[in-house]
Amino acid sequence: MIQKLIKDIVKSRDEQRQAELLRKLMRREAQIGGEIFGPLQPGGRREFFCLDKHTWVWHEEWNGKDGERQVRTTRYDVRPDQIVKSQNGTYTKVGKQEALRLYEAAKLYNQRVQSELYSNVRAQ
Amino acid sequence: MSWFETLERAFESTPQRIFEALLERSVEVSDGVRNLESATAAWRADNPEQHAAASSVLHFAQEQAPFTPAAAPAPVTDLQERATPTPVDSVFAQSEQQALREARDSVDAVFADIARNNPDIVNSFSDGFDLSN
Repeated sequence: MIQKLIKDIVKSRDEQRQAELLRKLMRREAQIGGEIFGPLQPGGRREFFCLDKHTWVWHEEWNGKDGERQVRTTRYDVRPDQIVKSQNGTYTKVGKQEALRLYEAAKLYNQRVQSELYSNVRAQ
Repeated sequence: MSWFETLERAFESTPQRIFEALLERSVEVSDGVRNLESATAAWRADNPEQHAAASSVLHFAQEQAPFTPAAAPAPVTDLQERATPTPVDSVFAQSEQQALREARDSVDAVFADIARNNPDIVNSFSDGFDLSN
């Protein structure tokens, strides 16, 4: 029983470490993704990342005209024949131009992260 | 093999776990792009010149402002605001060392509890303690 307990503890710890490692990778990807669109306004923050193989996330923070902090997170759900965008709980179907830009951004993101993070294990 | 040695063996599996995590994310991102490629295939076939024109990173970002929230301010040209990326290898090394220390502390605490409450058992389960799964 004690062996099983210890084994379970070690296994759980291992899974936690694995999950944390994946989160670290995604945080680094998000930083890289935020850089592909060029410079930010002072005080701004931008992250763009692949949450999973069907979901892309854009996070933008900036100071509004009145100095108030503005935050917007946009989530793109990629379906076989369309892309749906979610902002503040509102879902809209993504149009052609936005979809093509998103695709170009994703390609650039993929090039950067595969080169900077995953060059040793690159998926073909 | 003592349980200390057994735990050392378990921690030596860390590079494999790291490799698995890297591979998992690499595949996931590639699949994510492929799914986008499929979802936009018809549109791209309609308008191949737009596809080709978006090859420049900054042109793409600054001139076309891809799906930037409408209320967001226009980009500025001051590149000094961009954070310098931390070298990934260094980040990984630091995070793994920290995780290793935490894991050792956690497991050491468990063994200390067991040793206090069951001093005879500690010596008995070190043999055959399988951490392979």
